[in-house]
Amino acid sequence: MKFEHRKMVIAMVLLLAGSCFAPGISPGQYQYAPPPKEITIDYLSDWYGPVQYNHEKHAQRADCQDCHHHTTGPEDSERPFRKRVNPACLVCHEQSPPSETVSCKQCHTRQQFYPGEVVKSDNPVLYHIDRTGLKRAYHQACMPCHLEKRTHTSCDSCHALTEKGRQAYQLQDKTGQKESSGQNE
Amino acid sequence: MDISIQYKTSVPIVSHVKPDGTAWTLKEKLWLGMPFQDYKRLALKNPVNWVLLAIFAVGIPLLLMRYLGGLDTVTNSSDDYPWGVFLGFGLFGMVPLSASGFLLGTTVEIFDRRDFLPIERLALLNGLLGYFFAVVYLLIDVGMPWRIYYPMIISLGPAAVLFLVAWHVATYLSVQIAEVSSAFFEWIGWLKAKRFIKAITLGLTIAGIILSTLHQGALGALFNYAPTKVHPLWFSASYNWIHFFCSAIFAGLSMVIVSSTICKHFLRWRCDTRFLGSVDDLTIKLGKGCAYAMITYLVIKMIGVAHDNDWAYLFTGWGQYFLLELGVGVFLPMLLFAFGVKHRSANLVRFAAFNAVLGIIWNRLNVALICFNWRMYQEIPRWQELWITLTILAVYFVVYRFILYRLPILYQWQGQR
Amino acid sequence: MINRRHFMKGGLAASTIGALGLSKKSEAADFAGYPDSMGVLVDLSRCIGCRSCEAACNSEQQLPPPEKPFNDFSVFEELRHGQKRRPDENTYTVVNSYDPPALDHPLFRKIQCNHCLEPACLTSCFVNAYTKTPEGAVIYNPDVCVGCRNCMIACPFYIPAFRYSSAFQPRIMKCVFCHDTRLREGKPPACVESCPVEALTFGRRTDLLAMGKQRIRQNPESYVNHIYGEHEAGGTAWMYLSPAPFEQAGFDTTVPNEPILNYVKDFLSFVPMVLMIWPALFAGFHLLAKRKNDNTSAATQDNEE
Repeated sequence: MKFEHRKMVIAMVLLLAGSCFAPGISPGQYQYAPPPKEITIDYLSDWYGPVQYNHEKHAQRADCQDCHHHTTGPEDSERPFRKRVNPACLVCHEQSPPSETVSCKQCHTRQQFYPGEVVKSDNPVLYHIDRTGLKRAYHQACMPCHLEKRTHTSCDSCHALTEKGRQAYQLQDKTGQKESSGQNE
Repeated sequence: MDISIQYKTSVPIVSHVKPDGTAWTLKEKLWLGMPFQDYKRLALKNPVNWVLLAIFAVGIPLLLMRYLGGLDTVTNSSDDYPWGVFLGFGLFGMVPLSASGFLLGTTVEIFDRRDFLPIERLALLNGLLGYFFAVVYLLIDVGMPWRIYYPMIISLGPAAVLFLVAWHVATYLSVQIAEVSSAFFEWIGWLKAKRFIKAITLGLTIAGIILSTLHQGALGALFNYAPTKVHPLWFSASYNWIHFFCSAIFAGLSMVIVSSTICKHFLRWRCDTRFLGSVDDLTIKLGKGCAYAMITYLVIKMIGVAHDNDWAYLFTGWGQYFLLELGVGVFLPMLLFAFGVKHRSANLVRFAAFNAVLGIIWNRLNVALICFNWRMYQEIPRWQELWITLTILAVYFVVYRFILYRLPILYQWQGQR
Repeated sequence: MINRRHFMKGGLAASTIGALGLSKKSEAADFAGYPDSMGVLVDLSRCIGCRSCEAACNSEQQLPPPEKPFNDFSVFEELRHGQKRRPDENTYTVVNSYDPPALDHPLFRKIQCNHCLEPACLTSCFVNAYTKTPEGAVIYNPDVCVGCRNCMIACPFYIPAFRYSSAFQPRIMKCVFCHDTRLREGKPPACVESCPVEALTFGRRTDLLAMGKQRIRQNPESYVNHIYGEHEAGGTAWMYLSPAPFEQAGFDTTVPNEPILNYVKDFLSFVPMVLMIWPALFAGFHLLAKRKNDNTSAATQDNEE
């Protein structure tokens, strides 16, 4: 390489590296709109009603990456990105860029994962033979931390039962009588 | 009730005609040749009948409850122990004891041991009634008894061991009815029918022995379906069926000794001199057969333990129970049989026979109930279940007695044969 | 009266018929299983014991209402005869809680029919009331059942329950893999769909085995290296992964690795032999005995003369 070219390359690298230290931007972080303070998660409501999720409060207690795993958030030297990810994923995705969206349901489908999908997808090296569906993804994002901190551990502390759910669980109504359920026999 | 003392001349009925030459009517035959009022009076005076009445007084309502309210009114309705005393005693217990039919039939007809003739009909009757009431117990235990014929024509599952049991028991019951029917035909005077039966007796007997071998063994093979549930000392994948078949041999022979003893003592008026004169000698001969069958059984049992390498289990609590059952239920009566035969003591042989019968019932109850689910809690049957079992046993007794009082089983028919 | 000539004629006829062999070669010996047979992998490390599966099953199969609501967790303490809950005449599936010493938290296990590849219940039924469908479910036909309860004796997992409480319509009650309502259309059973943490994964049995082994391979410290049901009782469609040794989660690890059917094959194969040999054998005994007796009586007659 000619001397001038080499200087240009070094300058560009330095510029780019320097831009890392610009506030609010890190390698691999997109510029997202600021998250809403409260989110209503009701995509899967059936037996349970929507979850009124206080995003602001949770964002204060955890890093973005803890829930929006390896898609966004600043790198943390104490808990680097590598330590929060299943090493099986890193085999392929260590150098992957962040995804374009933080929404869970963009990757985790409503329909549960069935291994038959892998066969149908015709991809012989597809390693995602065990990708979770949306319902599990929601629960897995919240439950481990909640179990550790021992708060909000019962089902209805995060989402209230709907009428359908009350019937499904065969709950007694307010008068103390069993609600009618499926037919006998 | 020694009727012969009261009615010296006309009873017991031994032929078609009264001493004065007129023929007995069927009704007269039924009431043993005495006026019905007298028959009733004698029946009510009999303390055995009081006991039976007491049993029925509780048992019949219980049976109604079972059929109108469902099995859970009288059993534990256990999903872990699906089979209870109805099958444990009624089927698994009574069927080996009813092996007397094919054993004596084979002895007389196949091995041509005519010396056993006096006791043959009693053994055949014992077998027939035992199997018949085993089916009755089945009809009580099975969830939908009105469907009992389903494996015959509605929906067949031929790969199942129970399929074999069902078909064989049904066929064998027919064989036994045919064999006992010759006594009935004599009594009722249908001699042509009797001659037909006599013509096919050899075929019936061979059919009987085939069917008996297979279904006595099959009852044991039923427990092959539960290799994890029956205690290893009572379970042998290879030998279960042999254990059941071999023990059925001495069970059937012992039961003949037991019934003939009861008949000799309590039905003396009904037995003829041919029977009474030979019963002691035949008892000793049967005892000999039992002893041989028992030593064979003990050896095969030991082979079963060796084959599965279950020796270590003998040193556990269950092992002690196993040795107790074999010791008191098989080994002891075998010794008593041997002594009785050697010293020609019919009474010792009889005692051994009672012992052996109880030992067989104990063994079957062990396999089916007590050592079943040995790693689980022990199931204790409800008293209602036990009482119903007793009730059906009482009915069996009544039917047995009814037939013995009338048909030429313990005596030879003096009329046309 | 049977004589030697008749006996030989009859015996020859019978043997010829037997030798003609009216049966063709058995296809069962070569059957390798239905290729699209479905199953469910139950991952006990994921189960949180919420009992939604029990609720979904009750609703889907229109079972009678339970004594306690499905989100009442005091049922985990219930003991009957010193045993934890098991499926009964009103319940196709139950979730039990265990405290394995290997873990610091309770372990939950869902119990239901394992839909074996070679079911013992099917093997033992003498009216052919059970069927292993191509989709993988072991279903039951109450219209031919006689109520003999031999299937309950045979099942090594203690699953079938009997409706003893009914006098006129007793029947076996057990999980049917939602065959009529879902499986036939390729849909997963109700319990699988209701699980909030995907402890239950539905798919072809072969794929589930691959998936289960992958999970163990990727998380070796999180699982015992064994899929319960891969070989037990000859293989089951519902299989289990566990973070603790299976005995500690209430599994019976002494269930043999071969189908229960194998235990009765020896006896059943003996049947045709008896049917063929016994007639000849005992006819032979009879002829021998008769000849001996005839000779004896002839000898005494000679002596008397």
